[in-house]
Amino acid sequence: MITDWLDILYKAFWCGCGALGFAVLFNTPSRALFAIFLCGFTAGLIKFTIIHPDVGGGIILASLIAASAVGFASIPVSHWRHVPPIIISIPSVIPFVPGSYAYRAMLGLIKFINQTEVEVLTKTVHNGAMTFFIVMVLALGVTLPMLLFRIESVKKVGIPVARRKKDKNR
Amino acid sequence: MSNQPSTEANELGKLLLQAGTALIKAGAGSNRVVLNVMRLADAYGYEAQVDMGTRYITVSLHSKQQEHIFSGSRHLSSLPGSNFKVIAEISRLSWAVSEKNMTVSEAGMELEKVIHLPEYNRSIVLLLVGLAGSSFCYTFGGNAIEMGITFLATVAGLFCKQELIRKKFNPYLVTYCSAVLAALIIGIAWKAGISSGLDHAFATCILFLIPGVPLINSIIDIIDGYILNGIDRGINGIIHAFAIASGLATIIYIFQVQ
Repeated sequence: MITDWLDILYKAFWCGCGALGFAVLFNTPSRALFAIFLCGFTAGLIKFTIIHPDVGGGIILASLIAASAVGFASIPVSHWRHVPPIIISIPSVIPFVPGSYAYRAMLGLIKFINQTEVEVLTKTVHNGAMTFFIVMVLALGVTLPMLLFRIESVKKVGIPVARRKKDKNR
Repeated sequence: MSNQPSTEANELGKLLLQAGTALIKAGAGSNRVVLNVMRLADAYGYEAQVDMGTRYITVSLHSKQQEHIFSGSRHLSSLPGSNFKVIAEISRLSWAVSEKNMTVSEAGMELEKVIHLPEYNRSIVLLLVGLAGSSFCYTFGGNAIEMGITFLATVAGLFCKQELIRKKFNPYLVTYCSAVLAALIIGIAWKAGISSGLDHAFATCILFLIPGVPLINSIIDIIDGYILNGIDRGINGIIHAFAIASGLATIIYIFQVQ
């Protein structure tokens, strides 16, 4: 049990590192880097906990919940670090991009050129479908909370916030 | 136009176009670009109508009495990249303008500074992205040897990408070549017999090329109702992904990886 938790913690830590690497690649302001590491770490913790056999969630469900958690977290964090939420959330979910499924799908497709067995085809299509749905779910998870808040925030809360600040200065 | 446009409106119009192009280039979502430009115009008491794609932006300015005073457009020389520093700082600037009562020329100077903000040191980027590559390898189940090889492959691939971008090659070609180089290093390590199972390394060495920003922006744009821009970004992402897959396929074919 403890080793399981340690394993999840290690993986979460490396997820945070991955998020950090991508944040630097996208030239994110340095004031947001630590927050991105934390978001990536939290997302990793959520994802690998859900995937764990004792919990038994699928990878798509896990990705959706982790990505939505990042999306929701990015809103207070973006206020804290003074950056738009998308800057926190995109690098944080990049470690969950299903590179391994995409790779196997591509490999299967190449294999299918010479080996036209049904098994090869079903495996390839399965891997391709997993890739597609995980990417969709990641984008949706990140967007969904921002969407829910955007209707309230940028038009109704966001701009009035600035007006209030302006009033204070006057 | 019979009436001469005021110089402030002209200056502001140019500022808005500059801010808009910088945002598009930095990989901001369509809604964000439009909102930021409108917010900047609003701070000076003008109303902006913004129309944008991933390669152009058009801004027309009206005074609050609906008089037309400025219109202009800019064409962008390349598809959006990703530079979150510019997005964050322009967003900040668009709020600061109304809070600090900046003049248009002050805001222009500020914007000029934002656009030319220094990027991270190249060696730091290489190191951290390499680390990110090896951390993906770990989360996919790779061991320490695979992590090390992935680190090397990622650093080499990213170095190649940076060099080719500097030489202004076609972006898809850049992605393809970087994927080939990264996979080539894994392939050589595999043939040299460093490790028997390099599945995880193969799958993760090209992850730094994944067009995450265009793909996520594409969904965001579509949900926001900028469907054309969303499709535009989505297709861009898919072609990048295809370039990565072809690069990988090339190496898999050459090395006959099973």
